[in-house]
Amino acid sequence: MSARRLTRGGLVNRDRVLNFTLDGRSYSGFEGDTVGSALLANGVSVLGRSFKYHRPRGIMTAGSEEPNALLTIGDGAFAIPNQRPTVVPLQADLSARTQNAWPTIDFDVGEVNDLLSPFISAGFYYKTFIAGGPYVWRAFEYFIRRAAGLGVASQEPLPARFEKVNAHCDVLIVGGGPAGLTSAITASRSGLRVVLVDEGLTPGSYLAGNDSLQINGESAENWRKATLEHLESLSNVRILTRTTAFGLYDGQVAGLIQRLDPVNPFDLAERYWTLRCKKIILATGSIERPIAFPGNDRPGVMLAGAIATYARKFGVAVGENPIIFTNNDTGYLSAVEMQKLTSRQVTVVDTRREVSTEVLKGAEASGISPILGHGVAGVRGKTGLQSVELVDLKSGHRKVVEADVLGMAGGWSPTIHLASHRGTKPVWSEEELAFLAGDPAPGAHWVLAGAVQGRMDLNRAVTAAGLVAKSICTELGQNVKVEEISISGEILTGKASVEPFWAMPNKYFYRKKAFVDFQHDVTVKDVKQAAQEGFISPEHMKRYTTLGMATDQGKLSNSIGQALLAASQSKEISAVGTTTYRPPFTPVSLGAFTERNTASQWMAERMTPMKPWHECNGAKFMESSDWRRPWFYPEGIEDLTYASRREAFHVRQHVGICDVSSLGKIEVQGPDSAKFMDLIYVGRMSTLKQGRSRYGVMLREDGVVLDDGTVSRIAPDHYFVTTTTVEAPHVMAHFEHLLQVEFKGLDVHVTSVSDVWAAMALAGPKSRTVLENLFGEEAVSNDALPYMSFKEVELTGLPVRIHRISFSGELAYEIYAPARSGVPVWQALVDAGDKQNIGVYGLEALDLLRIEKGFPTGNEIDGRTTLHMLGLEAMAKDDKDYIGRVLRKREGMIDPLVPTLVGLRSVVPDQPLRGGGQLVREHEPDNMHDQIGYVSSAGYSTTLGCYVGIGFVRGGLEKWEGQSIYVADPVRGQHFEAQVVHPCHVDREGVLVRG
Amino acid sequence: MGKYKNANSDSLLFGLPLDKKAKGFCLSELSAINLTQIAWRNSEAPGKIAKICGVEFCPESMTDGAARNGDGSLLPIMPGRALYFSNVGLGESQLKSLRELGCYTLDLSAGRTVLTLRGPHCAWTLMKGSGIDFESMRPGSTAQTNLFKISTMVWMIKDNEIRLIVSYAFSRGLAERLLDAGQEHGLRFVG
Repeated sequence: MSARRLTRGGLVNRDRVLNFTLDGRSYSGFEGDTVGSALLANGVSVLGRSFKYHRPRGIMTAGSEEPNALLTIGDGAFAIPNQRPTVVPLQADLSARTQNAWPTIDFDVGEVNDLLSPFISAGFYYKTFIAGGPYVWRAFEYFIRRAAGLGVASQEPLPARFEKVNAHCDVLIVGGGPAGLTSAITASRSGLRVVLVDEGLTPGSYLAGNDSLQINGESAENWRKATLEHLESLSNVRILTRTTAFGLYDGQVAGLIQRLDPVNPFDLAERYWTLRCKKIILATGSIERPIAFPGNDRPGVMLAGAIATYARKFGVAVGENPIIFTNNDTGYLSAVEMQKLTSRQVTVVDTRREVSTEVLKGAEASGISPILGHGVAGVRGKTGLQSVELVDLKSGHRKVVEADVLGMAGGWSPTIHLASHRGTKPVWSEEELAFLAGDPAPGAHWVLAGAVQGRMDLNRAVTAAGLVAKSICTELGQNVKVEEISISGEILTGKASVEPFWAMPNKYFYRKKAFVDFQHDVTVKDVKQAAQEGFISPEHMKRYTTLGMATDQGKLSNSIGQALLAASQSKEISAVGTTTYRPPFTPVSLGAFTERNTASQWMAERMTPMKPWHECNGAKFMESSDWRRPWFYPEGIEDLTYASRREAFHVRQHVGICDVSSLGKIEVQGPDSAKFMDLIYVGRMSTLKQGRSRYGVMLREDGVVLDDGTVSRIAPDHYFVTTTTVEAPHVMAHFEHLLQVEFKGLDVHVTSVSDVWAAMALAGPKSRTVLENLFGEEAVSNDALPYMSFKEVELTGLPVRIHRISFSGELAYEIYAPARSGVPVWQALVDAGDKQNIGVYGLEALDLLRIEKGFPTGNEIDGRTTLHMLGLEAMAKDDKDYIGRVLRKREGMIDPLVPTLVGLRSVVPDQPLRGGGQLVREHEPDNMHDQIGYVSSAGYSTTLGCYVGIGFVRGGLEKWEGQSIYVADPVRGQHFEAQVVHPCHVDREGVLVRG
Repeated sequence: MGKYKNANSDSLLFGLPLDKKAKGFCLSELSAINLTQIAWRNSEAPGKIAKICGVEFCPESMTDGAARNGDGSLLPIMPGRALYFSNVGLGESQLKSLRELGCYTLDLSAGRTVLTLRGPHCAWTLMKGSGIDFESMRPGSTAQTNLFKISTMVWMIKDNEIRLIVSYAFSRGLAERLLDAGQEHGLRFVG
């Protein structure tokens, strides 16, 4: 193992070595490493190039706030860009690539931008490309878009999968640090359901390997292990590791993302949790801040806490000559810890001249002598730190010290993002020099615990967290004893005494970049420039400079940016405020939101009972609403056109059977059902005799046609209603709405039975013969079963209802059987029709047949048409009340100039007439805009030997019957003559259907 | 024999990967079940309905859960409506009594599929498809939800055994989604 790996310490499993590659070079790490820790252990310093200036960058943090090191992890379809190696667990044979560099990470052509930086400061794009006018933008857009972005997403579908889990709990604890663990122990005693969420590989990693701390008399590590074992053994506690609470939403809903082991056998990449909880404890801790000084972005410059974390959690000493640059006491904590764990001599450079005796004593006891009153005026080393230039902040005296890693300790920003998601405005604290969460609104269901409330020593943090958990349990009706925890060995107690030192004063460096936002290359100068140009609000400054808009969302940069913005205006930070934190806290894959709703699981497929039969007989299917219906049944090499024409012709000549199970079916029961039917339909249904059916049309309240179908009277207080496939849910909702809101007094029960009945249409001149074969001549004779009647019969013991209804214009029947008997009844009909040469037909042929007959359906009843337009006004019985009666007579709806239904035929028989064509008066191919109507449905009529259609034309049949009109079809580049005829192309007298 | 192939099947689940010998976590279809919907408006009807159906009480809301007695169970659907679930269905005399009480009945058996999910990971698997709090459901409780976007009635029979009553047309889709969601715990379809 490399020299950077310590011989002991950390939570890694040194018995399991994992090999991996970065840009094709081989490295190794241990199980328990993150990709970041393994790379640091291997001495890899440059892991990326910055977004704008393409400056070499290395790892800066040890958590999800990492702004610099973004890698593409995985190969081929599995390649996922912009991954933070600081949170990605190391896997065997993992492959990673650096990004935003060409041709290599070491030699990047884009670095020329760094030389051009004086010309491309904040606002450069707006001033140059947008203000330059659209032509300038268009000229450069291609190049700008090529240069934009960091990693490149794979163009292949991601084979990994995502899933969603909905969970509930009483108490959600976000953060598995000392405060989170203490809250969890206390809350778990109540018996309430507790969920503990932690971003890391294991909760309490702050305590892991922390030999200096003693908790309840034992080492912090032992306490952590015992606590976790105890919590894991409880049935009411669920611990989610590698899980980020990325947002808090209304109704105490938390959005969580759990990153799963990428090599699990089910290829599950991430699990998206929607967690509904009663109370939320936010123990999210705080994030250390950097300090702006020249070259603070160079590889080797990190956060001080991160340096200590890598030593403690992963047994990695990130440098041999470490320097901690601090403006507060916590820098000493990191320094002491690092020195103790790594045995490297740590130098502390403190901007303050006065430091508490307690802190100094602690440092000196560890052999650290701080350099007080100094700052960092610059660093040497482009791809790895070589030395640091220190400056006395009073005298200006400079000196250079050797260093290969520099830790910045610029204070702490409490992680208040989740509290802000609930609408709480952050409040500036002069004492903490940080934005704290404002007070929760009355009735809020979240509370804070631990360092998220501001800097505090561990004893105070865990004591407060225990009390918070107790009060939460009390609110939920449970009394619990607070877990008593006593911590000793902490070097620093009390406040951190942060000095408001945000950036090195300008006088100490000239024309060098001191970065505020590392990923987006926003410098101190950019922030000042924004203020000078009038962008004095943090929201405006953010958009002008892009500070805080990178994948880290300004977790490191926001506070410094706001402090500098305030200073530029000589204002207090509290007067400037901060931007609004919105979800997600960390980036969330789009795949996680999509969860399992992809490919075949995108939409639940609704199957007709006879689907197995159709599949067995080669049917091609099409979507119709959420149903999959047989479209056509090709024979040999037939395509849709030929198969559907053959099927339609066969029905006209012989007999055909079609699956119409998808029709909406509603049972209407109750003493007031007849009254209700009269209210629903424009026609009178109360006079319908038992055993008879009637065609009906229903309107919306605004008088527009809602749907049509048939109504059959089963009993005086029982109707059976059919609707179109697509409108079935709307009609059902319409019925329910009317009964629950408008006509509450009616004693009527409506039930959707669309799935209960299999339905099959038997149509054609020989259809009666087929039924005679099954039920006998007497049962289905014209007298026994006249047009628009129905009867119930039995077929081999199965109850079957035969309706004499036609949607094809032929002698036809609709046979209804219980859904589970669908296949046997269908098969019986097919077998019975064998001698009559029965054929099956699909939706396309059904459409051709109904167009020939001029029956309107979804293309005509499309939510815009009225009874007048459809030529169905005669059906309306205005001597009774019905939905839409008044509004259907509005002036505009009965205007004679409104297009009404007509039939159309191509003058040239083979000229395809297609739905969507516009109807115009004159043969002017160049003028297709003077339209007076449109073709709603069309197809080839095998009966007439030409294309026929139906459509709507201004003036209707009265004005246009027998005349020529032109069909303009600009989409297909066609313009041809058609003849206007009656919409009913075949059997206008209805002889066939009544035969 | 005609020109078409016979494809007799009384279940849309026909063709799903079948493992009849599977033990532990499994999904099955409950066949030959009678489901009769009872609808009423009279507020005094529930008690009488319960008596006619021979169960303890007539559930009026989802919080009541299912009322059982031997073979038959009354499951709440919505205010004024319940589903009678049994092997044999309601007898003629019961139907007559219900009618006299002003209730309307409908046999929905053919339009519903009853799936049973049995095993230690029932709740976890269902949590992937619906926001219902499955982990706190108690035996006898029922709920209606969109499970994997499919309208389903959930009925907890006992710990680690949940019945799912779903539209026949969506039964295949629901079974496929359950098998996919339960894959990580070895969910098998046992017929």
